[in-house]
Amino acid sequence: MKVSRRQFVQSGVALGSAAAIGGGSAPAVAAALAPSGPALATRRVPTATHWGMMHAETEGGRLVRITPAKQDLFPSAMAEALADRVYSPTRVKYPMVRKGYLDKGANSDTSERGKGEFVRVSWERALDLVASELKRVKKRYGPDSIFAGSVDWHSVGKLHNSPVLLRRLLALNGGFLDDSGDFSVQAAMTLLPHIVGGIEVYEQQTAWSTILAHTDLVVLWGVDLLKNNQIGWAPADHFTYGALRELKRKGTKVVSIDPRKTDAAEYLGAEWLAVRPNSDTALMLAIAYTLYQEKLYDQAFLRKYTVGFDRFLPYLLGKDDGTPKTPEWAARITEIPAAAITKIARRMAGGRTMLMGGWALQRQDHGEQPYWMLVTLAAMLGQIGLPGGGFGVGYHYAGGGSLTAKAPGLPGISAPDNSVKVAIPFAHGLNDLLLHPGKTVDFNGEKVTYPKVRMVYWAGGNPLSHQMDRNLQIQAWRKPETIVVNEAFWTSTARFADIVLPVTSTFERNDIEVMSEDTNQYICAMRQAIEPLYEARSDFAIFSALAARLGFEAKYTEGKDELDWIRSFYAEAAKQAKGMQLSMPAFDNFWNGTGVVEFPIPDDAKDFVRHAEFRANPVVNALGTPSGKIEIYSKTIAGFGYADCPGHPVWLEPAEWLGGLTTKRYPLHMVSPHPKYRLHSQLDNTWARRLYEVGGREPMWIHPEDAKARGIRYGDIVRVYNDRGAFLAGAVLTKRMRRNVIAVHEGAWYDPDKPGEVGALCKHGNVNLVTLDKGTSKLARGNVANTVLVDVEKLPGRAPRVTAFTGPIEV
Amino acid sequence: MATAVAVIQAIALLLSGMPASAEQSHAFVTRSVPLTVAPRGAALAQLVPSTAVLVVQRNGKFAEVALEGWSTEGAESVFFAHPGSRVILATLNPAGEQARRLKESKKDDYGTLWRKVRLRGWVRGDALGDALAPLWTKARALYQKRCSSCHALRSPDKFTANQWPTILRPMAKRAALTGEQHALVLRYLQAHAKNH
Repeated sequence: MKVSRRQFVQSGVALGSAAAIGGGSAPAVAAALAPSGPALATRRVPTATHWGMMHAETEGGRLVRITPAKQDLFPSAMAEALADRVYSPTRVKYPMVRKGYLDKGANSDTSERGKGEFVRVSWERALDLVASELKRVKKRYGPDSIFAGSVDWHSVGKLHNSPVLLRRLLALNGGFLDDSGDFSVQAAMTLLPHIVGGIEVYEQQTAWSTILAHTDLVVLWGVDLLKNNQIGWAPADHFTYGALRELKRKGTKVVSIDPRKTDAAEYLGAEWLAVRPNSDTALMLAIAYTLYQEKLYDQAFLRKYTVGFDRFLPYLLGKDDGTPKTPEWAARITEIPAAAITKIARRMAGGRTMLMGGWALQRQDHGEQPYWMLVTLAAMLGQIGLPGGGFGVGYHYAGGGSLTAKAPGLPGISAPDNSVKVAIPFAHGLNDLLLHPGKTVDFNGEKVTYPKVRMVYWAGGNPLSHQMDRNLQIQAWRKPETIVVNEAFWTSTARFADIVLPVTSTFERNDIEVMSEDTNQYICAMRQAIEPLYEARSDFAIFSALAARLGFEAKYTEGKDELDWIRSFYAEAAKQAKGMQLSMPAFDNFWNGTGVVEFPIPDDAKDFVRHAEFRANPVVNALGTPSGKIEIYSKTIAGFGYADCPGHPVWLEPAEWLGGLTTKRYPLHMVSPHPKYRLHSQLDNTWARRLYEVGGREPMWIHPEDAKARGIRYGDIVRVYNDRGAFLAGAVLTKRMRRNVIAVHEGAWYDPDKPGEVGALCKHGNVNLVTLDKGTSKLARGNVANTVLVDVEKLPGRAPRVTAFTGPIEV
Repeated sequence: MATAVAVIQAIALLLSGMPASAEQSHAFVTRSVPLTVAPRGAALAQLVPSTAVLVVQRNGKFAEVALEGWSTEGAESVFFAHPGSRVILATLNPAGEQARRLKESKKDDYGTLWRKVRLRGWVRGDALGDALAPLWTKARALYQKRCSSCHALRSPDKFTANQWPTILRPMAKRAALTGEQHALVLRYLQAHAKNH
């Protein structure tokens, strides 16, 4: 913004300077002293990210600041680092090809992947290479040899949705191997349709207003509402923060069942039950046992709304296996005293109780069981469908419990029919797929046979960060002939690729979005703030160019450019809005104006209660289960005959845990929650990491007694290890951890001391060096991120330098 | 499995003592449409896209149709495709409930009592088609376009016909489906769902 004559004249500096210059008219002086316009010209455009609606401010064409939109009442501070990220030294600048791959193509020595020697090539050459590989692999091996399935977090936007744009290209190319699940909620989304007819996890939760009005006890089970609501799949509106403030003000009793005292538990003054990790099902069973024995359970609810309690009861009472699931039994497993278990059961039954389950509960071995038992427990309490009662497994995510607007939907770019019908359960199966082609596995009552994968194409994600058992994965990742990655940053996934294509960030292109996922209250413009950096192109531009080489550019683009697509999505929403008697401004007014359309919240949105319709009339509104009711016993699941997921909830010992035999070698259990200052691995390559790193490494929370026993003090760099691998972290001693459990947030950038090698130490703190690559059970094949035993030692000598945040070695 | 439910429904109409005479024919509802007591008369029910009907007679722009389904005690207002099914063929208002003709009963696997029910009324003729295939083609294209914009498209046989309503409901707004599109896509998914 140019300094105006009036502003300049009014400023003390101006007066002083004018006096110093001595003479001449005020406007002439002002003109002489005013800074050059274009170099400092500032612009402010509306945009959006996973952290919410915001503005991007530029000065002289450089992104200098991200500020929250006024609609965001509780902006997430870490979003400010998004401006820094654009200019990170980790930016992929040009198309690059791994040297060995450039020399030898599909016959390259794939063990060189990850070593980071890359050659810069022109876009023409890079695109020719990728297109010819797609043709070659498809022709020689068939479309199912190309794996491109991913559900990763990319960036928001209805057009520049990298994984979908990739699917669009490969589907048009004749098909590819896709995934069939979701790394976040695989166990829940596979189990719950059998039990309650729907997936629950991505559904609007019972409104917070009803909890504030009716709930006597909020039980937070393996969930941190404060930490996790900062981000959303669609831009987050942070509704939950206002609700939590009200909850605290009201003084509602809160209990947090978690190996760690979470931020939410601290804030709300919750009572903390420091449960042993992976023992949640046992605790729930013992609570159920108490409710049954003390006749505190709702028999009428069970009769009217559920089936199978009579088949589950013998197990609960120990009639089958001789082991009644008493509080004493559970105390040995959970390390929660029997008296505390009895007490919490009575408290739950003594008033209106809302059981809030986190997704961490089902990211453990046999992760289906805690969710099945949570629903069973809620059924026994009989409050499902009552205001502020029952259970919810989406309160920590994208503002669950917020107010749903009366609004049209906003469509996005799509992917056409995929000729390949087999799909891989994504949550546990990627390493398995690559290492064991031809293997047949059980999955949700069916058999899946792995094709042989020759080519992997990834866009918008970071599998070399999020997948379990990094050293196993490195071996798996050597199997394909060709790996192509579209990336904005030199993540470990880019470093392990053969061909890396540089993509633009959100701020270097135009797009459009909705805030938020559950409410649909706003449509927001995402206007381009700066020119693309270096040679970066959008995924849409990259894939359009590939489509041209593959002979179907017209089908890919439909003759529409970026803004045409955005207009078309807006037009579809406007058409729907009209049918709903809602008005939307003309596109140009929206786009060039505030960039925001707001929709109304109906009065009754605050009264929304999950399952209320079912409770009101379980016949008309029967659930989508075979019986129409909640299935405590499922004939369908029983019929699959899976020992690791039988017909009703059961306690099954995890593959490794504090109560098991392997504890002698590795006596600490590691949990790896979602980070507080990142979105998985996003933002680790910014100044944000300086807010939380300890000794330049990802923090590791450890109880002071466990630390003392190992001679570890606050700030020490430690080595976390087991048979599968090791990583370095920075010790934080805190009584917010229970004994024998450590917590390290997932997503710290992988930084191997010997790049590309199996068994390399991660110098920086990526948790997946020690995690277990196993499925939750044959039912869901979810990942078991939270089932890990390790030990920790103080690192002797000097810690090696962290080198993850640089570019590749260019040769 | 492709159109099994609708075909079974049509055959059931045929075999149940409602044979098509020379003037009568079978047809399928192509969009949500009211069933009325007479052409332009009071409403009895709302018919769901793809529901099979027997066309009894035509009169100008209207057709008199008969349809059949199953209801449970306590849900007399809903016609489901068969006992134990969550495939909704029609929803009735009180007048419609009064006008039903009750046939035989049957218990499902969970001991719930179902009753076969029939209803006759009038619909707009342009809401009927003689084949399901064009409707499924339209539904499939819409499903493909809208439901692949966030994740891999879920195959219809990934879930059972009974699960699909609740699976689809939270997704409908994310996929920008209007109410009518939602109804059509749901029936398409149910018609191509997993057996259970």
